[in-house]
Amino acid sequence: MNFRRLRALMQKEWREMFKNKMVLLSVIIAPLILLSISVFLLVVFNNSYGDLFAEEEIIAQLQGDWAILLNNILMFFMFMPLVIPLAIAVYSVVGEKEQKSLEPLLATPLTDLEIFVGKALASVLPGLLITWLSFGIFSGLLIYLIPWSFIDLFFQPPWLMAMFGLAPIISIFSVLSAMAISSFTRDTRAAYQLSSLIMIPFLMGSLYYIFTFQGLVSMEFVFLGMASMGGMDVLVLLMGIRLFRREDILTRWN
Amino acid sequence: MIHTENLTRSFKHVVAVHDLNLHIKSGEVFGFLGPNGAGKTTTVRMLAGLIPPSSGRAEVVGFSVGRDNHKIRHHVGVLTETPGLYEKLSAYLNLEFYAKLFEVENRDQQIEKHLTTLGLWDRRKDPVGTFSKGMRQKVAIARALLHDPQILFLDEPTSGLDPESARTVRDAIAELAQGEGRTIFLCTHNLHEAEGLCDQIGMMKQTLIKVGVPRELKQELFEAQTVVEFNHMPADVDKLLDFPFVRQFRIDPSSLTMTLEDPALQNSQVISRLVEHGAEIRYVRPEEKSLEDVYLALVGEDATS
Repeated sequence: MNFRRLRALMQKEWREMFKNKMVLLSVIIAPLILLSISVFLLVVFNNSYGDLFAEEEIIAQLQGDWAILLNNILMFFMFMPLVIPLAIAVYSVVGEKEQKSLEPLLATPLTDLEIFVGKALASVLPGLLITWLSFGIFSGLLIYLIPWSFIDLFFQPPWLMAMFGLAPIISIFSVLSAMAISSFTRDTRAAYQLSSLIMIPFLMGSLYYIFTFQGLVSMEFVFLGMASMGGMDVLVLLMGIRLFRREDILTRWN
Repeated sequence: MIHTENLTRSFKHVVAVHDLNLHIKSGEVFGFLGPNGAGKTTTVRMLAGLIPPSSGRAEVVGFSVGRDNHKIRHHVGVLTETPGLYEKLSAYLNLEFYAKLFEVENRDQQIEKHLTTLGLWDRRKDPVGTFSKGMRQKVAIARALLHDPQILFLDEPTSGLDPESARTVRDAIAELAQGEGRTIFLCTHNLHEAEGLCDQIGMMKQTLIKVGVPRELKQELFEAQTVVEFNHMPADVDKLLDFPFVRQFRIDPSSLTMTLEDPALQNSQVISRLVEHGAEIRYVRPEEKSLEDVYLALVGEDATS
């Protein structure tokens, strides 16, 4: 793997992303909405219970409600690495098809693996960076929005493990699936619609989690998520490597 | 520079290229002609190290096609039928990206040199999406040349261009052919273009039908003919042509086309007789066969439809 070529490919993908309003908006709007909802929920909760926070005995009673709220917010943050890189990944494949730029790209010294990894990383990294940036902004606002006695509920190891362990795995799944799906279609709109279907199983899992899990999210739960999503990552990775073969790209992709 | 032996490529049950045998020397401009679906693009893809052959063997710049495809791609430049540029990026950024992939030294100087040569330096910062087809094709030519390849594969470089753009691209190719002794493998439908640019021509229809220098191919396929154009044609011209060395003739309203055994010796005898019988002759000229005639004779009328 030649890292200079890999970096050149990723840089090109990002330059194209910044020039493409549709992709750029998709990347910006999703985290803005999810971050706004999270902050809104905190503000509403704080306004409802804020005057009670001073009383020690009431804090204990409120912790169950906080747990549910925080679990929902965590879910929003787990949606970010799924949604944000999707548009970039779809465009990185469909855009090449639309511009008929695949053959010139394949005529360079780039290896099949470098093309695959370069395009995947170019989508995964911005998704993760924006997720973590949103998390940083949210954490900063949290200090102003909720009392100190509740902040330690938020910065628990499962939360941090979800943000820095599970989120990358989710992002990789989203990107690889979107790239695989996009390889079958030339139409951008169809590629986006089909790729958004990958959110359905994740959404169902999230709803199940929200409605059945009443306590604070545990480390076991995060590890379970990492293991199951990791298994799916391996599956889509194997599929992606099979799809991103020079000959198949030239002769079968349309 | 390019050598193939029984090179064959199949896709499932379809044989795209069959037993192709080619030998192209360094510095040669080789024209590869054939109808749609003749296997020209598949041949280019194999020789440029994009896809492996199904059977047979080939060497390009000393590397084995299939086994050394990665190395071949370092040494060849490919101009695909469509420019395939990133339309939202500027001409400069398009070229910079490819220069990085080929790890070109003196990247900026190389980009400037090629864009200047092709007359696009002033437009380097504009997105290529705003360029005309001809300008895009020129950027694609610059892209194919950035890493100074030993062989340049040009797949239908003027296809879909208006006559003016096609001419600028053709001029650019002609300069490349004359300038740096680079081997050029030119796939084209444009027979006039091939005739003007190529040292050697190969006619392809799944396999190589014929290969040779355009002038020799014409001589090989067609007998020399003489055309006599009249201001006044004598009556009963056919009776005046009863020489034993006249093989064939065709009489049109104001001209006569004839095939003689040895035109250089016998033209004057025929002309003298015609003049003696009252002919007023405007021109006498050899019949020029075009590469199109050669192509049609070899590949068939259906190929051009």
